[in-house]
Amino acid sequence: MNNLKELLIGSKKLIKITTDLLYQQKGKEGLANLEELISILSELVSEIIRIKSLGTSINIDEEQLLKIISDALNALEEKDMILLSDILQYDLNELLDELLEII
Amino acid sequence: MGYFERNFEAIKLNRKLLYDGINQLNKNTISEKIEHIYSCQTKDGDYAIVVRKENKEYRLNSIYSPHKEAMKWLEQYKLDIMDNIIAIFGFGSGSLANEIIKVMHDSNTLIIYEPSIEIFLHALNNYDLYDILTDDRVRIIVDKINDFEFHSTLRSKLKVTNLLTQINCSLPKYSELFPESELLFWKTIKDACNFARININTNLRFGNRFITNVCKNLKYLKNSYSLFDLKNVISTDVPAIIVSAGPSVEKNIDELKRVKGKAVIFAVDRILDYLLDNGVVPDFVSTVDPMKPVKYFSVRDDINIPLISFMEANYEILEQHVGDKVIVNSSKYLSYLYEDLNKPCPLLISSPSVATVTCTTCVELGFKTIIFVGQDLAYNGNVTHAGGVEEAPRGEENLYTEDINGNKIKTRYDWKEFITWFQDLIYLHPEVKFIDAKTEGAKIKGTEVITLKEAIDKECTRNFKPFSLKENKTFSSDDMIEVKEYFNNDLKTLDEIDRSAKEALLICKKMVKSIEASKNNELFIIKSSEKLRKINDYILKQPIYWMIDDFITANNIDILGDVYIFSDNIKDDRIKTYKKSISMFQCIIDAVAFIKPNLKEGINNIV
Repeated sequence: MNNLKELLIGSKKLIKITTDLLYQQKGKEGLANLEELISILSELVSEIIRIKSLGTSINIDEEQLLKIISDALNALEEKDMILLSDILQYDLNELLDELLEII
Repeated sequence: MGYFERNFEAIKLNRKLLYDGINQLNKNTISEKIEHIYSCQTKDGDYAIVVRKENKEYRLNSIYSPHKEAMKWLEQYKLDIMDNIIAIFGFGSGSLANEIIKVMHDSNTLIIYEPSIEIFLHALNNYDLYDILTDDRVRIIVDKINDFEFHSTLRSKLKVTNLLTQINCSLPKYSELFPESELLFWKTIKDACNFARININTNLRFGNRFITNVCKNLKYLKNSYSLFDLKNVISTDVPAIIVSAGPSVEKNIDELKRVKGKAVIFAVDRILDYLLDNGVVPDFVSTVDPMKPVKYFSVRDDINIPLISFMEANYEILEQHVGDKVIVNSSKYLSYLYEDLNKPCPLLISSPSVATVTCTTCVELGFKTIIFVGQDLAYNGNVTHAGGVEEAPRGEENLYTEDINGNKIKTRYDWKEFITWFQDLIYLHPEVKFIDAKTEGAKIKGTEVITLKEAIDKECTRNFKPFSLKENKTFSSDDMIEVKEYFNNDLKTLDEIDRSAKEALLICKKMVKSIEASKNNELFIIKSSEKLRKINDYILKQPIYWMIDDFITANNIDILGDVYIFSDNIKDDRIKTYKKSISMFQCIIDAVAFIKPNLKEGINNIV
């Protein structure tokens, strides 16, 4: 669980850095950070799957997570960086906060 | 009262050009490119504008919190730098502007360029913009309504102290929605920066010469006339003709002879000899450049045509000229003298050429019709000036502008500046009819383009009443005693400034030493700062400081470039400030050493 907590905190930090840059229209730097964020989020999902496979229950709204990822990808496709920032900063952050509270 | 009424009332009271422009809006002004605009509620209860263009929707703000988005956006900029300019492409719902005005320094100017009338009207209808619209630090420019104000504001605000610190940016989505307007936005900023650099270079080059000229020209105050003295006697019910030095003058000589007495003819310095050689005697000749070679005024030594001039104009030309002198700009320094003697002070706005200054003079005198002759502002082959003169290009081989027939024509950078300047003046004076009498050359928007023959036949139909300046000298003999006393007092003031600057310089040196040594020195710093403030206040409020300022700009411009930029380290900032102050006070001491002998000589020459 400690590793999961670290990944959650790390993800939240990266979300802040990435969305700050995107809200400030620093697209290039923002997208570079987004790559890093995606990488840490993948690690986070893998860690959740690993913990679940060990029989530990984690109450995460997987549908909500999938919806957030899908919305974020759409915003990225549309090059709507403000919407992408909104999704990361508010929807994803909220979900990660909920997860942090229950572990 | 709804948002629109309240917002519109604020515009009416604070933004005349914008108010007039909105009132004159008609359906043709509205762009058809935008299909729909609406506002949607955001998750924090605020609203965001959504624009549909070419079947695609663009939301201009965060769907969660436009306020937090604006705050985040602002974090990247330092808005507490003094005297700075912030230029933004896009007004949107005004959410960003609202946040900026809360934190920006009182001396800053926020210039917002909105490329879409529809978005602006939507914002007026749906958002509370009262704080922005009533803030006199904010300029709001809307395309097709008051776009003229964009470049004129930039040009008046950009200077040596903010050229490096200015903030320019676009709102999200505006680049995608309005790419052509955005290009124009950046081009206007680039042009304004170039304009500012030219002004800085002019001050660098001419600063000392301004001082020399004013001092050497003091002797002409005695028999001088001001713009206002001339205004009292000149007939302005006939047109003014301004003859510049473009090649097309050659074709108009016969018409200029024909119009003598039916229009007041103003010649710029460089065309004077050509006109005289060809039998045209203008009613006035003008000169303003601080270093214009005398040969470009006249090779004759008997020119007694009244001269329209700045006090900062080349003293050698004023010496060569033997007639009456009409001062249209006394220099800021001498304005205090006029004020002291209860005389209206001529302070005609300075502009990029002798022709533009002559044009402003004619407008100020009250002419209702102004005819340009020889204002070609473009090459005729390689010929640049009347008389077959070919001046070498100035490194702008491929610079073009629109000609009077809508084609491209080769021009120069300075001529392009003159075109912009004329267009601005014309825009600001709808009461004056401007005729550009030429058959070729650059187009000046707002002028009627006809031949000089047509212009004369149409506008110059009767003789004007002869006028004489003789009884209208600005300063009487009694006044001149006071004038001399005024300057003698300024010599004493220069001595006091010198003493004060030397004292201040020593204080600054001690402060730097103390701060560098990191001593517990707060009390010392507070006391010393107070002394410096008093010295500064004293120096800055002296009229002669305006001359010192010319000297500083010309000789120590590197101090001014980043004078308002500070770091987040108080110690470093203090050291930087006092080191700059040392340079500044040294420059004031040098300025006094330069000005004093010039002023002394100037006073001695007043007979």
